[in-house]
Amino acid sequence: MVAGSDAMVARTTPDTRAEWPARGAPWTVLAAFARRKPLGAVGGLIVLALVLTALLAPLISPYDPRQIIREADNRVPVYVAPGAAYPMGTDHVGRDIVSRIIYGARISLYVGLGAVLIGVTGWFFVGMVSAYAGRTVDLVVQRVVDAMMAVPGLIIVLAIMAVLGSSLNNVIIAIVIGMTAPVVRTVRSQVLSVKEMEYVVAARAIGARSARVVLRHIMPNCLAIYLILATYYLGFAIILEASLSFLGVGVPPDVPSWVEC
Amino acid sequence: MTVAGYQFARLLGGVIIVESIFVVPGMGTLLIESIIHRDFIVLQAIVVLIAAVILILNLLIDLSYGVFDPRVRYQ
Repeated sequence: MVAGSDAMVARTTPDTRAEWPARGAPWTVLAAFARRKPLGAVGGLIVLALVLTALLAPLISPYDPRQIIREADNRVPVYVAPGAAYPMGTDHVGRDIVSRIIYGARISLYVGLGAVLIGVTGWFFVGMVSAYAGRTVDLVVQRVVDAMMAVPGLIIVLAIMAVLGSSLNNVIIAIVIGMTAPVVRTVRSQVLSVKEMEYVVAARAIGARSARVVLRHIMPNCLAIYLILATYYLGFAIILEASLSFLGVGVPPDVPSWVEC
Repeated sequence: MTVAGYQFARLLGGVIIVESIFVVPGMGTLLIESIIHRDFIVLQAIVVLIAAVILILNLLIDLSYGVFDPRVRYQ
């Protein structure tokens, strides 16, 4: 009666389980990933090289990036051509350029990661609360965001840098304020569509408090948009920091940056 | 069309860097000079001017939907 019933039921749906290798040593998992997605592996190697350069900067760089080099008999090498002593030459005050590039990776990653972690996370919560609270809160927040969308991002960042002054943390604050409007708008649109799903309606119907509904149901479904925003605005923040340094209003002149004016 | 309006806003933001590269004496250069010299009044004026231009342009784009799309007509 029961023993043969499994054999008599035909498999009607195809086997859609993903074919990943069994969890083994990390090396085999990485090799399988590299074989499956070679472009992703190359991108990962580039990012890994960048992060290692930033972490091991004191070990790799030949000189201190802020030190004006003094050679024998008190000469300062200004604008020396690339050669044996200085692999990429020196800049206009006599600092080694290779060291500044290696330490510049630290600054760029610091600004990028800081701006993304503070900015995208903060504005993610603001957008989520604004979209879920509705009516008055949403109205006020969206009018403020509309006002900020009327001014291009670079100009907002420049104006904030003019007010705050030239410092590394001020660059992060300025970039965080500059990325307000797109992040809040995007998150708000996603939360508005998630808010009407059946499970959210059901949770509210059985009396769950608003905080629980937001944290337990809405936020996990918006994590995809958070990851997309975080990866996009990481590159955006690094490029924005380079633009600010190029215009001369970014990090202070002695801080090693990838762009120096 | 909406994308064109958004792209115009980004172009206005990028004109600062372009003017800095080609040394064109325009409003972008004036913006950078006012930031370096901490001239906040000129900075406010330029920001308000750029925001006004973008707002007027977006208004024109919204009005132009009535011209280009016959299904949308304003009374």
